[in-house]
Amino acid sequence: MTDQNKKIGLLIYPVAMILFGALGYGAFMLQSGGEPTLAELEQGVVLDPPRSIKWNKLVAQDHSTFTPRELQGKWSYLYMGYRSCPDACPVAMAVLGRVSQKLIELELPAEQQPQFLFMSVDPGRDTPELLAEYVAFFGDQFIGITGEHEQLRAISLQLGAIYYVPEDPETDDYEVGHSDSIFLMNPEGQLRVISRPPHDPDMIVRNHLKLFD
Amino acid sequence: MKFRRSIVCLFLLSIPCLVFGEVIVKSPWIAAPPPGSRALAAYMQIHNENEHDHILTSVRSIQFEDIQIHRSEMKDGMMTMEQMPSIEIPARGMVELSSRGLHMMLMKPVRYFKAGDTIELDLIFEDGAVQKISVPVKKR
Repeated sequence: MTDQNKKIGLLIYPVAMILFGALGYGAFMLQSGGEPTLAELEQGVVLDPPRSIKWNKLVAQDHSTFTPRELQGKWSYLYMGYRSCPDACPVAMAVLGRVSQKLIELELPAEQQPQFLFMSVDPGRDTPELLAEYVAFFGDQFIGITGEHEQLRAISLQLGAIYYVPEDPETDDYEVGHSDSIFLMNPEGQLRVISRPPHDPDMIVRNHLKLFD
Repeated sequence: MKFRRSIVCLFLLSIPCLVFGEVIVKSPWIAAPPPGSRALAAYMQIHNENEHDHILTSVRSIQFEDIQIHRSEMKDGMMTMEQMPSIEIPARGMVELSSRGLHMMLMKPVRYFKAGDTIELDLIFEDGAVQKISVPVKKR
């Protein structure tokens, strides 16, 4: 980058930040109708107040129905992806696996220890059995969930996430586009923190601890 | 401080370095895939110490049905992958293949690979040169 470009970059950056901030603020005002504040975290935001999410019925890796009750009483990290995802998902899952280890090593009180959810947005290929096998690879603390596209879309929209699955794929080898954020739900099942990529386990742990300062 | 520096030096020395002519592949690795994966991702640095550009046109392995060059990128808020026809390694330059960026997608493995395994790849360049590399499979 030349010095000239650097200067332009320096100018554009704050302007973009302000614009982005304003957009984000507007979006949240519309969503909640309240007066939320967004505390900036490293690579993420805390939603204050947290955003209520209507959790539709999903299916867990053991075929049990995953209801909003599963989110009650504990913090939950959630990543949205698909099993045959070769790059982004395994990276995020490996990061969450490390976050889990680090939080256990820190010996946090039980109510501050989160659970970890992997929500597959590719239910056509990701059966509960395959999901169970997939998440176990990253650690036994993970729970795989999925559901009908209608339910998955409604949840992802509320999280501010998107995904795309080809409607009529020619082969079974299609790819899925999806948001790469990590979401943290509070013990009421409300969205509390959005962590943006690139994900770093130490940063997520620092952000997690900040919630209980 | 000196101690720390020597540790860094030791670490750098331990990075596998595979030399072929003047194109050098450094620290190649393949991420151990979750069970049932039909694609593995390979990462590495490709250095070109030549005075002219090199173009990597394809990658082959008898252990995979197909190998493609892909680029993960954030598009409209979604992580998506795009297939790339080739990788240009500029003269006296380097291209990094890393997660969430440019990488090789090793598709349909002949068997399940786990951490500790080694995978043989042939990198094929536009001038017909073939570079054989052995790549360790490692846990992410």
